[in-house]
Amino acid sequence: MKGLDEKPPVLLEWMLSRIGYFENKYSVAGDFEEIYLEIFRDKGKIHAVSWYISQVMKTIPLLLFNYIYWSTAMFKNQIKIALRNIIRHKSYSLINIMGLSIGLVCSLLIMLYINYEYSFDKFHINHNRIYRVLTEMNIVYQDKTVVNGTPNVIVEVLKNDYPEIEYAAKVYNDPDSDLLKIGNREFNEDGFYFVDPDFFKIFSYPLVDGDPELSLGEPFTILITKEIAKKYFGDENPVGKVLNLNNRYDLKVTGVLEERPENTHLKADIITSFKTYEKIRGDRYSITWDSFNYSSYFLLREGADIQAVENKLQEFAPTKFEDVVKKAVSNFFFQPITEIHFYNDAFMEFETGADKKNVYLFMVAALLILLIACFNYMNLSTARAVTRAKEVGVRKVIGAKRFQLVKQFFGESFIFVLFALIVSLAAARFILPVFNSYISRDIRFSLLSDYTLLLILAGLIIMIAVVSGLYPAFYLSRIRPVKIIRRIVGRDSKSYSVFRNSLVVIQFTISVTLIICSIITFNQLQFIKNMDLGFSRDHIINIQADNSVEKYDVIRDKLSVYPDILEIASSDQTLTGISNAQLGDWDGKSEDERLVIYAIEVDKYFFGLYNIEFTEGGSDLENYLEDGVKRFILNETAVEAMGIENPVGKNFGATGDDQNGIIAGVVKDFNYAPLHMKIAPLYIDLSSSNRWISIKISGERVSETISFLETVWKDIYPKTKFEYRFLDDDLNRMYKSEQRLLKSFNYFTAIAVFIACLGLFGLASFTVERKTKEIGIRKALGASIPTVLLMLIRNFINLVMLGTVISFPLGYFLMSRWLEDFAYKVNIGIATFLFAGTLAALVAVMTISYRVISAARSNPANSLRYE
Amino acid sequence: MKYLTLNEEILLLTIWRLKNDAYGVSIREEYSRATGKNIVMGTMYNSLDYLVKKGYVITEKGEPTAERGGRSKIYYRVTKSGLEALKKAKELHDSVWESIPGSIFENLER
Repeated sequence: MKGLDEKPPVLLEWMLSRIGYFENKYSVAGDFEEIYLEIFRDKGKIHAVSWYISQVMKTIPLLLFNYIYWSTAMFKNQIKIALRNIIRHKSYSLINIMGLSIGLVCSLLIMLYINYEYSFDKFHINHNRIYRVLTEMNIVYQDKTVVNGTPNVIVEVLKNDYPEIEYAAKVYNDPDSDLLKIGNREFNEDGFYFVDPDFFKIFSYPLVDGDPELSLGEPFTILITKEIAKKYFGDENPVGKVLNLNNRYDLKVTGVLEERPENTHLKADIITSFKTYEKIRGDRYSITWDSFNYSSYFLLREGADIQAVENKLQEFAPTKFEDVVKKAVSNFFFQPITEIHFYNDAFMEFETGADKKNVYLFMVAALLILLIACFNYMNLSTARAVTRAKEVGVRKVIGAKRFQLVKQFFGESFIFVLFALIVSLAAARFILPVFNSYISRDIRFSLLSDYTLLLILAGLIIMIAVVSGLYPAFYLSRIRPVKIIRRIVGRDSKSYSVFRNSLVVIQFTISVTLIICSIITFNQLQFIKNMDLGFSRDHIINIQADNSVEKYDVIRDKLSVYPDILEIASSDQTLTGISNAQLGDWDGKSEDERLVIYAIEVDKYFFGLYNIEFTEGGSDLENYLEDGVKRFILNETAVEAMGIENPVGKNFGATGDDQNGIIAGVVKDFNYAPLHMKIAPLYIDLSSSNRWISIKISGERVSETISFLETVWKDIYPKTKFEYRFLDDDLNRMYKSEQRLLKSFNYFTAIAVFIACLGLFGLASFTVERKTKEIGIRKALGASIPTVLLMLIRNFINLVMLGTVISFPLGYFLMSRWLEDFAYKVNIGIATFLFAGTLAALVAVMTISYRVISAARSNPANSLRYE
Repeated sequence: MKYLTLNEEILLLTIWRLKNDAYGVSIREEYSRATGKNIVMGTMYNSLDYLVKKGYVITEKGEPTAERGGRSKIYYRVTKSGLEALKKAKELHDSVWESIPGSIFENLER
């Protein structure tokens, strides 16, 4: 017969077999083939095939319906079982949910933090087209080779000669605070910004009232935010009113700004026209290529090529530099505004930006903590295999496929994670304000309103559920019903216990590594704090003065009579804040030699007050200012760098300042910069400059002394505010970021150790549960409590110790890399590791013992009656 | 006891009518002959499985034939409870149609 050997296409048969959940699949396929053949004979292959396909396709809706129907039924059952399990094993559930919640809280906060850091300056409508001009230097300035400062003229050049640029504006932030006053309301204000008229065309700081273009084009105009307006004017409308600046200039308020967003590097709350600045400081700051004081921003035209503009400027600008400038300045480059927050390499930056390292550190820490929590879940769920085995067995006997069981256990881990999520969302809300003050940011709780965050959160949840559910799901679903009947599930096969044990080891490796990091960070900070800096640091107060020689003399006289004031000296910068540097020039300097040398101006009392020792010269400081010859004092490093023999009496000069004089002495090196850096060359210029006054007090009756200081101060400097700083505090402030790091480490360590111990506690509980009988028998046969304890604890302690040992090289490696940043660093001693290890072991033993001791002490009669 | 759906009723009757020759292909043919409609194979097997589960029909494995790629047929046979269900269905029909005169359709024919 024709077509007897004709067969339906294999693909279609396969499709049929996939959808076949019908009872007699095999026979159904036979029926299909028979009909297929019949149609084939009658009408040909095409009809037969299309019939086959249409039949298969038409079955799909039915199939879907059935699938959904049965899986919801199953799902309900699984949820019910999961909830029952959570409720029945309360301590187990608590440990899991608590661990996961803590891990999630950390992650949530850090997600918010990272999101916030990356949101900086993105509120400007044109943030994609706003750029800043930076200056690359040939010399190092405070560890930096880039200045957030450009010549005055560059804005004019950009605006007039470059058609690609729409608007450009200078911005100058006064580094000192200024006194603003109306009537009897006066405050020192820090955020003074002098800007060009285009400022508001580039940036999107919304205005409540006033005309920015008009006001920024005029001198002596000022715009303030609502908040500041309230401070001075209460509820009155400030526009048109006059504020007094530093008791000298009257500024007309021409506009009120909306409250400024916190996430910007330009924290401009008080905006004054640049013309005002020119009037105040005089004409010498106007059109020139060789001062680098002003930041320049511009708005690129849409579609313009930033690189081309940059190249053009880089070719043009150097032709304008004078020879002196050429030595110090290399060129200009552009930086997108959105990158500024993460950029910490510029001198004269407006804000201390974020450190990407910190962001990554936080991220890694959060992930590690999450990982530890996931491990807890994995370990505890598989440790409970004995209890779950019966359920799995029954399900399997009834006909559950392995895949269905896997799904069930995944579902369970999902439910746990969801619980944890709810707990952690609530907790994160409460903790956020604390977290904010800790990292000094203003982060809003935007988790559920921010689309991207929500997506990331969902991804995170799925990831946690899968990671923590993976192992239990496959382990538990593997159990064979036969094994359950033969009661051999409790006895783990080797590979499983190895896997579980290694999870514990990893948890403690992470925890102990964190402990080591904390300890070493702490040690390093202590080391820095106690290091001999080469000058005295106790009981010294610095006060900002106004650089007037007459007043300084008066105040010296008045203060020195007070018994608790020991010494008084003046300088142009604080000793810990030396930020001026020049190019040095000396006898015997070769043409291409170049030495960046830091500079400070002090009076003759300075050395005595700070106990700075002379190694050469310095005996007749009294007479130095008399004869009109400039005299410089160098530190040892400077002498060494210049390579001068017998320096006293030789010529020395600073090119930037155009000063020449002779070397009058050499002082011993002292650490005036943070200890990340080696001591750099420094010259001390004897002068009468007194922007800062240092006062050494006896250290007794401190508050009385300070109030005395204040009265005298008000008398002599009625117009400047009395603000004082202790040198000690200034020194500590230098290591703020390290201190913050230490604090972060401490928190992360505490959390990690806590979660790891939670897991250990859970595992110990299960061991005790499982070995109740064994303990009873041992005790009945005469084992002592310590023996039983040891038996129960030994395995755990071994794991903890193993983790500790692994963490030693890890911690050493990480911390020696961190310490590389310091020029002066503490030795990483063996004691640190021993301490960390002992600490971890102690905490672990205490955790386990808490659960185990009661079991070891229990009466064997009770435990043997168990069952 | 639930009433049969119309589809199940037709399937049961078809199987009964086919006596010893009731398997997938023949049921499908007889079904479309009686109703004038083609039944989707998936729906048919789904309903047959349901009938088996309810105990209205039992299955019986037949001989494999070459036409079917060597796969054996499954024969269906109506059981006693299947007949009872049919009886109930018939009674339901009868009682529902009782006292409804044939003349109600007269208007339709025009």
